[in-house]
Amino acid sequence: MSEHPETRDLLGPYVMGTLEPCEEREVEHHLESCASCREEAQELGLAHERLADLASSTGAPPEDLKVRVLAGILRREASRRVPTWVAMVAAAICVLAVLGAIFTPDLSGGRAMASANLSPTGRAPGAGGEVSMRGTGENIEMRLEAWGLPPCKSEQYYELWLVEGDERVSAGSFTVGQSGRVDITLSAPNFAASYPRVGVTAEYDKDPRASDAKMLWGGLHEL
Amino acid sequence: MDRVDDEVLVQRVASGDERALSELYDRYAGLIYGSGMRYLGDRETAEELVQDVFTSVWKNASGFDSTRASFATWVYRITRNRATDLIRRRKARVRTVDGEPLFEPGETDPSGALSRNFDVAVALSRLTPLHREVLVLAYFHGFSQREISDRTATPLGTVKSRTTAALRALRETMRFDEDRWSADE
Repeated sequence: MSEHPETRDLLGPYVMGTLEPCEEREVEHHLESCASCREEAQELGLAHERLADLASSTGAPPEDLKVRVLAGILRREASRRVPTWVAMVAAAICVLAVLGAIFTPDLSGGRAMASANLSPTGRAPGAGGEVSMRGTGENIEMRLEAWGLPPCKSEQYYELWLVEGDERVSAGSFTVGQSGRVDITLSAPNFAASYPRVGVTAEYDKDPRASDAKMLWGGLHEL
Repeated sequence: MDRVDDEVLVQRVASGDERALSELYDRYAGLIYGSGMRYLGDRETAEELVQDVFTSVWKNASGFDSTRASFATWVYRITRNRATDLIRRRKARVRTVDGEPLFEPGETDPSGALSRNFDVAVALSRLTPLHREVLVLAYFHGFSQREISDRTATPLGTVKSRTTAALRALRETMRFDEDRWSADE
């Protein structure tokens, strides 16, 4: 370490380029003849570069992201404490198939491909869910477990989407009753695992356009 | 919450401590989100990266071994892997439709810049509060030395010498971590 305390104390602002011009000239003049101070300035310059790069790489996430992230994680944890048979019975009672068939979970075979944890939006702050994708030969099954969804109103249903940017493909639709829970298995296109995100929207029978009422969303991860 | 090491916080997360998870979020979400914006290019995907990383931290905290890697290294790997996964999925779908070559996994951090940023972030978190304050005000809030002097009611000369001491401490902490974890990579 340098033996010149006055100059040494200025080396930090010097490498940051924040000294007054006269101070900077004095430091530079000193550095011409002092090897120890030059060496220290080099070391401090490295710290300065790393810190400047970190600062330029750090962004401010949206203020509500923390609530959404932590709520999604903790609700998922809480839902795991509910016995599976309770969720399955509730789903069997409350789910009304739009296509006239009843979906029951069937993941007895096939290869696990991808999964997603679903986070809530402002429309359903108490909701959460999981999606798991399994390949069964040429087909892909998507199992959706969700909770905390508002019960469906008249002529309303929910739809599960595969999403990339502005593009989305439907993976199927379902309804939710007073329990707010659903546990169903839907068939998906064979390229479903290539989509990066899944989402659940609230849809209305009388409106043929895809809704923007996003209730749940999450990123798909390969297993 | 008192300033505790990241490794201690992860142990608490493994025990189900939600406050510890919240503290880790406060320390690292900005860096992960900024990295997501840089490497993935859009806000929604960057948010998803943050969600994925902290979900992974929560789920896998019990498996973190502080004797084998620092928390910064661990969360860097999670971030890099999740970002690579998101990029690969995007390119894989293009290939499905157009038959173009796949983007090669592992290119998310070719220069090591992301890894270095995590190392600097953890070194910064280990400084004393006074040292950390002058550096955060200068680098992350863009204040001049004189503005820092006014805001903290500290003589300008003290701010300058404290800034030098803080950079020196940061450099020493980074060097210590480099020596400690040099066998890890």
